[in-house]
Amino acid sequence: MKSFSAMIKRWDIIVTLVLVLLSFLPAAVFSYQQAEKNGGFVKAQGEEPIYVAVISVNNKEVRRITLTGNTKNEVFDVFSSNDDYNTVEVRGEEIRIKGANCSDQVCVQFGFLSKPGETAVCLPHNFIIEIESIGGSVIEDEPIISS
Amino acid sequence: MTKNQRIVYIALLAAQAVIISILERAIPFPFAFAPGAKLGLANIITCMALYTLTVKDVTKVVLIRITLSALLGGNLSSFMYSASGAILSLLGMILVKQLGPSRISLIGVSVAGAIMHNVGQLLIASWIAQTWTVLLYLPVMSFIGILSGIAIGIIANYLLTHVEKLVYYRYLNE
Repeated sequence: MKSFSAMIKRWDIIVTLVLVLLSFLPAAVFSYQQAEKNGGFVKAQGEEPIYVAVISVNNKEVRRITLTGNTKNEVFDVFSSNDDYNTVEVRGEEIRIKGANCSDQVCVQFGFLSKPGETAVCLPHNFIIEIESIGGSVIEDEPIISS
Repeated sequence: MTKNQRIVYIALLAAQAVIISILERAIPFPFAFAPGAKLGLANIITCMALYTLTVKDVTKVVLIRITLSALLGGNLSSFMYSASGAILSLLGMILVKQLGPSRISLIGVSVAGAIMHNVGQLLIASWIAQTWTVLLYLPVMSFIGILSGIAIGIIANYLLTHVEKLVYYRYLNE
């Protein structure tokens, strides 16, 4: 342990701190955008934003599920090709990838998603679940927002 | 170091790095909160190479490692990840090392490498998935990167000061 503290130099700490701060940059930009996007809606309609899970395969949207206020439980498979599937589970206001037959199983480790900006990605199948937040109004009336 | 010695040394380092990255695939990752995170043990070899070889030869070691480990049990998408991660992390480590040994130690170099590796992989992931919300995982990944980077810096420093040949090569390189 003595050699460890002797090894560390001042620039080690500076470089590490700068890189850690930079890694928060995307999160900061995202929450700024989110605040700007929702601000107008909430003021105009006085309602809470609604969270929607968007499921896309090969960059095409295949299904949207409104999570806010959802009480149903649902399990279904999404096929990205004839043999490749991801099993999606919706439990109340949360959604997760329950299982998949992909090679790395990383997508299953993401666990339940419920907040806007959270993402579960299965890269071998090019399968994504994203949570979007939409200013308070009924989903059917909203134009589909392609980001 | 004669030319042949150098070639054999590059080949040895690349071979070790390939074996380490294949072994690493067999280790299940213990932290459930960071999907896809890895220890990055192969970075030990890159750190050792950085301090004992020229920049050109280090690049050779890294390129050989990426290509071989993709051929031995990877697929195209995993090759793209490891390639972008490895190239960005190599660039970061070379840049940080320019500060000189009096200012920065192996720990800083390998932490920079680990974090840049995550940046590279997440950039490719967000490009393939066409959504940049993937980048929101960066803080979690860089936290793991700091821990594993420190450990790997210590290991590489231990090897560089205790293995006789490495000490000699490092002396030649400086």
